[in-house]
Amino acid sequence: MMRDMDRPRWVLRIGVAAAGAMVIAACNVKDELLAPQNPGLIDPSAVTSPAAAYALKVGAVGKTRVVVDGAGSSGNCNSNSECLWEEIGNLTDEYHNSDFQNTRQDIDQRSVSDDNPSISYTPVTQSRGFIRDAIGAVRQFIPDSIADLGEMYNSLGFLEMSLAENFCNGIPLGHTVNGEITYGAPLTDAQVLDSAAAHVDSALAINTGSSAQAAFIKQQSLLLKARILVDQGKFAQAAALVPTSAVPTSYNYFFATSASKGESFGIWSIVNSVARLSVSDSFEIVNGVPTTTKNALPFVSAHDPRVPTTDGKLASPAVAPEDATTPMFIQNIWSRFDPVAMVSGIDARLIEAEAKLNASDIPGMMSILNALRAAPPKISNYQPAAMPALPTPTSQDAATTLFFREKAFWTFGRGQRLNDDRRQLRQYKRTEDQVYPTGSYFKGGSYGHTIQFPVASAEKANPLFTGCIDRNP
Amino acid sequence: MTLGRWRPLAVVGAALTLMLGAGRHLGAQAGTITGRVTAQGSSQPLAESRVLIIGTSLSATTSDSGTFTIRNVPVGEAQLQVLRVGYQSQKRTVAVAANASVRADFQMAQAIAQLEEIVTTATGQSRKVELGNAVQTLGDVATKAEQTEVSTTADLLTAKAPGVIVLPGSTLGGAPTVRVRGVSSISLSNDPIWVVDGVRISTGTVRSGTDTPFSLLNTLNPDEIEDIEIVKGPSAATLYGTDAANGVVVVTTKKGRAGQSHWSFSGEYGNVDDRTDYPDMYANWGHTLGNPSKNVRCQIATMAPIGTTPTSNTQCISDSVTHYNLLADPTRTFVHMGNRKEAAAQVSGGSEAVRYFASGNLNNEVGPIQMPGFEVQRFESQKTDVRDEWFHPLAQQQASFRANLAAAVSPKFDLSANAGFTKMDNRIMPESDLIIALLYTGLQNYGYKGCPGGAFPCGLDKIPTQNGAANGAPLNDYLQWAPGDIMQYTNESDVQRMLGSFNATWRPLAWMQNEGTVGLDLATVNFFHICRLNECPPQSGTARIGNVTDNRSTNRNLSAKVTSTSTWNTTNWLNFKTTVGGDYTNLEADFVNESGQNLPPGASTVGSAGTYLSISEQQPTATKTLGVYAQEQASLRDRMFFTVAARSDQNSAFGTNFQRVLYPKAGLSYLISDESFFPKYSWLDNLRLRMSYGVSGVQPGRTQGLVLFAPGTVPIDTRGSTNGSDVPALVASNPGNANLKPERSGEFETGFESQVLSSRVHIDYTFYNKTTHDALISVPIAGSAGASVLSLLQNIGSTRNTGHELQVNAQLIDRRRFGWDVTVSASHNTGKFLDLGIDPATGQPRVLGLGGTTENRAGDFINSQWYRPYTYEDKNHDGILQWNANDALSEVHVDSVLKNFGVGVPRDLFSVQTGFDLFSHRLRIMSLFDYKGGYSTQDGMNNFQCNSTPYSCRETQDPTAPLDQQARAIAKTLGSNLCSNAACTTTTNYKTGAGYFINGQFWKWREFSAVLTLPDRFDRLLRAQSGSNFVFGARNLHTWTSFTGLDPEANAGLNSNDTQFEFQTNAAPTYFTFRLNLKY
Repeated sequence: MMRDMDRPRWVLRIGVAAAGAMVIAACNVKDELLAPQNPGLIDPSAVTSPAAAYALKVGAVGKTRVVVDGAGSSGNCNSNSECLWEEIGNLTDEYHNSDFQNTRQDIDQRSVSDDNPSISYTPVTQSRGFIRDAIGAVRQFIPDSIADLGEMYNSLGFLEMSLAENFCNGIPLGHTVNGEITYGAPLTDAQVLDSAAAHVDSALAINTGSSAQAAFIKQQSLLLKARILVDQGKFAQAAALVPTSAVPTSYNYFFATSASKGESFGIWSIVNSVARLSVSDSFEIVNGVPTTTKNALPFVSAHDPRVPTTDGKLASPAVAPEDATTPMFIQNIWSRFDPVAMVSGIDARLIEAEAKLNASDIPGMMSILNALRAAPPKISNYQPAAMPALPTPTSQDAATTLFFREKAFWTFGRGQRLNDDRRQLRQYKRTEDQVYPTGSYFKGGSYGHTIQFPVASAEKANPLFTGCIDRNP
Repeated sequence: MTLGRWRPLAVVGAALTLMLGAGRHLGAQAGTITGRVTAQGSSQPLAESRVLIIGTSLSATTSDSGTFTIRNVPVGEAQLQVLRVGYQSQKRTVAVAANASVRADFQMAQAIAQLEEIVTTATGQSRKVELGNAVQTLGDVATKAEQTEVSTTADLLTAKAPGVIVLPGSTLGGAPTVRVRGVSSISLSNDPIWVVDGVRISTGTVRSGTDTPFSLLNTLNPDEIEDIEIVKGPSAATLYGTDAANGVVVVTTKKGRAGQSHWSFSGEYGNVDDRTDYPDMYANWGHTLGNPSKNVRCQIATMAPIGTTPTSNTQCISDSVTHYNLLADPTRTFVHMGNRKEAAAQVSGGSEAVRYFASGNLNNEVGPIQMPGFEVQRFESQKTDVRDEWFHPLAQQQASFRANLAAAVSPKFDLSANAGFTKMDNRIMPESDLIIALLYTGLQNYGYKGCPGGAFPCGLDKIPTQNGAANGAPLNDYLQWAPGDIMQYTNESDVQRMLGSFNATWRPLAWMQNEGTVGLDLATVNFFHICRLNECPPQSGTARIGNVTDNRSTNRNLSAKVTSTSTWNTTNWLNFKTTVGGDYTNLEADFVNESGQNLPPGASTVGSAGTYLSISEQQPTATKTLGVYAQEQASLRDRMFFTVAARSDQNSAFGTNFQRVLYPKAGLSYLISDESFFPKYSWLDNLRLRMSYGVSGVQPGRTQGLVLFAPGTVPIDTRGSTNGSDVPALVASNPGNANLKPERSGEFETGFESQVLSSRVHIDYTFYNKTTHDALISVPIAGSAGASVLSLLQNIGSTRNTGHELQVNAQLIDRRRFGWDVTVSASHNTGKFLDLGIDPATGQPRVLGLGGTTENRAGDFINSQWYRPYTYEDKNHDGILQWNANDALSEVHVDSVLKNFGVGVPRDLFSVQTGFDLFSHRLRIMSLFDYKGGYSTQDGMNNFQCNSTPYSCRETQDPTAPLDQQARAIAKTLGSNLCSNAACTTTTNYKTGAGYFINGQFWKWREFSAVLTLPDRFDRLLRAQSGSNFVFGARNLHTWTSFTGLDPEANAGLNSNDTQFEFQTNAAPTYFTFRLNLKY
């Protein structure tokens, strides 16, 4: 057996040594040994200044782009996939699906379930939070920036209007403050429109300045409010907000893209570049036989100056559909870095025209529409050629059809077609098979009955939400 | 840089200094034990035998000549034990006198079962018999690396240890996945941590440019490894601290041993063969009643032309079926034999004072993919030189160097330094879900080659050139993109890794050993992608304008550790061993990523790009852990061992409201067969019972507890007519969680080890029950809340993994001329959620992922996969399942309600390794068979091929296809139209991918080797020592499975739900290699 007579002395020394080590280790432990070392990260202490508030505002306004362009956003609308406006075009008659993803083909076929992972609901509704945060920061640190505040309220109103126009009844509007989540109960589209209107009203109330920027933002507010009023069926009130004197036809509030960072504009990227969507037509050639799609507008074969297209095979360089099968037609309105208008003066004229339509002033409507055709305003950077005047329809129904056809060509790709289809059912008492693409689907099967997007199943993380309240138009 | 950055080192150094300094100038009367260990019968010296004095920290390793010396042995009786793999351990008591030397020689009898008896633990090396927990040692890794076809460290682990799942990276260089005792976390990594020579190393993935990531783990060269031990769960890993709950893989590199210099040289050459049985693609040719003169391709489910709805005019009349396998067509395929070459040299030796080991290894592997000849000709006709990276787009080159030095500075003080450097270059072709994936465009064709002839014209629905352009590259029956253009799409990654450590051991007294280790793992990674101007497929409008990506990242891990172990022999029958220690790890990472576009001709740098696409960077972000621990072990008569221990950690990733976590452990090991009361059976040689309980943790991500904002730019020019100016912007990026704490996994395990039948058979059985509390769950946040993230990590759940592990080693026959041994490993794991907390809004148990494919709820398997089930019936018995828009008439019915279809991680593992020694043990033949079952996995290939244009997989085109396969295609593509409301006024089309999430069980002939020990005359001819050998090795020889995809192991990497991601992913190739090992 081994023993060491010096053991007590050793134990004492080791104990002292260990204690000393512990003391040293404990010294500034949190500050030095264990503090998170993240020099590149930005914590809340850095976001307490006017400059930071403005940066938050810029970031928030940038998030509004998720309706059309995924640059910088997350979720299922990323830099190389469809966002809400592209999906609106796909669900209606603006685009055909030309890729091989079932989930996106389901949208094209109007057979959309709430668990379809391609639905761009989440990025749109989530972006509301960034704007709310930025409004709080701007109010605190640069409260005099009324145009900035107005712009952010407009953004909030625009996103909520987009939700109401394109998704089923049952849209929750919750909020998060300092990390505390408050979920909202599902609201009807009408209630969501009311919320959107309230935000735009806030913009109008705050943004009373006389600067050029304030005036510019006010015009954005007027257009948004007018669109909401149209959605609510208040056509005359809407038109009264956006006369030419208030919003000239040349007006545009643009979503911009960054050429310096090579951020291809979303529609160009999806249609012209990766060819997942093709501009669609009123018929398809299937096995050499023309097959018509009921209610679909001939966006290709009409050769309308407002929607210039090119056969992908004839483009230079040639553009083949991603699925190698769908006839590919690319759009020529927007080139790679062109901006796209959130709201424009064209919208204002169309709102005025629709007010005339609803007042049964068909000649008045035609006057506005033909004026646009005679002197077409630019669509983004694209200048359509002048078009001959259209004859005046002889019936209200024909006038309605003509109006929505004209509007479809003027607003192609800008996320208005689905709402207009819905409104034809809701406000003009048309039936689904009079408005939506119907009948045989060119990739097989038949068109389904989806008339608006369901709220995505991801929203079921909200315990107050169980699904669409209904699928009414 | 400030002093603060170095303070961690200073603190640890100070602690070490204090502890070392405390013992200076102290000593006691002592003697020396010397001896020699030889083999019984042959009297051959047994190098690498461990000789230790029980109840002390004193030990020695025998030299080449079998000799050993243990100095500083306290006066009195010393109980010696000798341990060596392949020999039965021996004990002997000797009397040690002051300042005298006593000799103790040992003759060791061979043990039938080859077992490792010494293992490395968090508190230092320990006899396995003392541990209450199971530790899996691979043992004699050097021989395995030399005598089997082993390319990566993961190959060493595959099918070797019960309870350890190794999913090899199936593409060359692909990251393997290692899971120990199943999956317990759905939000954090389930990877074990790796410790090499005492240093925590990074084993993360390296970007490849495709879905398949490369792995830092692959930089560990198997030839440099002495041993690998797998510490399986918290019961064993407690003292490894936060992050060790998923297990610890402890790697020890080779060390020199006293004696003359030993040189070894090896050269290896072999084939890398893609033996995948790629499926034929089909075309069902017919005509329609409405246009009988026109030929169409029909889909059998609707009997209508592909892409149409059946009507009276478009009813398809099938005429014939063609099929074509492009990848099996030698005039078209890119599948070609690859090769593997390796050359290595090692030297070790030294004296008792200084020992050294050095090695160098070069290997080069070319994957089984090569540019087809017609593409080479096309480029040559364009006066374009075919670069090597185009011709062989899948390749790996690796160079490794290591130098380990150990010095006995004094009888009481040892110092060792270990340093290794690896440079690994990988390149990979586009694969997986890239639209230009080589396998996709080659595998999926139109079901016929060229023009079928006769009535069938060319180009029915077939685009003959890229993008259909007249001047486009000819496709030569590939689907969309010319393979040569795809191979121009270059992805390369370069990893350089330096791994080094210093270890000091000081034994001031026989009963005390102090040890300090400090080490650094430094890995730099450079990922580079290039498509030069007018190169690569034109899959987008910007694909051929020139694109370049240059990503650089660095991982720096600092590990520092001090331990002090004291022993106390109170009586002859009771010993105590006390260990106190502390360690500190700092895992640090940073990166800079940049990319550009619009390259001038020939340019390949981001700086030369006309458009600067993006730059992102992360400054050094670290996870730091400081832990202290203490362990007390009591040994009763060297046959019963009690261990209690505790560790306390602080960690930088914990929330600010959480300061410290405590992990306790306790263990009991009992060599009960040594007791007098234990009945003696002739067949039972020994029996050891063991049980242990321990707690460990997994830390959250580096910054998940913090409230953060992210910078960026937004193009703002709302009135502009061109494009925006980039304005600096901020957005909230993380709401933080001040209460974030680690997951805590407590594990109880029990089992036994026994040797029976004259030690011919060794049995090792373990049962474990691991419960994880405070499970970190990413709780989804609904988008409507407007939070900055869509999920938040919270400690809300608990999971339980239970399982059984069994390993049996048997030497069935051991004759002079012939031997036969078998090792069987088996394990079963069940991992379930116990609790996911209560959803505060509903008051009901929380369900995660409701409505999605991965749904988690209490009582279910972790990461259960949910699909809509479907049924089918061939109502008219025509052998073809037909779909109808009216569900009542359809022969396939999809339910609207999701159901649980099980998990994607194997739960049952079984392997059999058997070896035969022939011709007086000069030839050894070994095979390893590997079974994995109890799970399902995605047949991603058919899931995609059958449900996307041109719909040319067999189950959509061939009326003789099995009904179950026809059914799954219909269920996925066409689905069922079911009522959406009570009145059934509208219907919803429900589809399901359930038919492609199928049983993944398989048997794989994993390894085969034939090792011929060179005849003495060859040794003499080559002037080599005996023991030189020639090896034929093979890996992944054959798979038996009912899985319908390419391979149940084909894997581009794991999904976030821990299921395999297979999407046009190559299966692991088959290796056939020859290797010559010469020893001098």
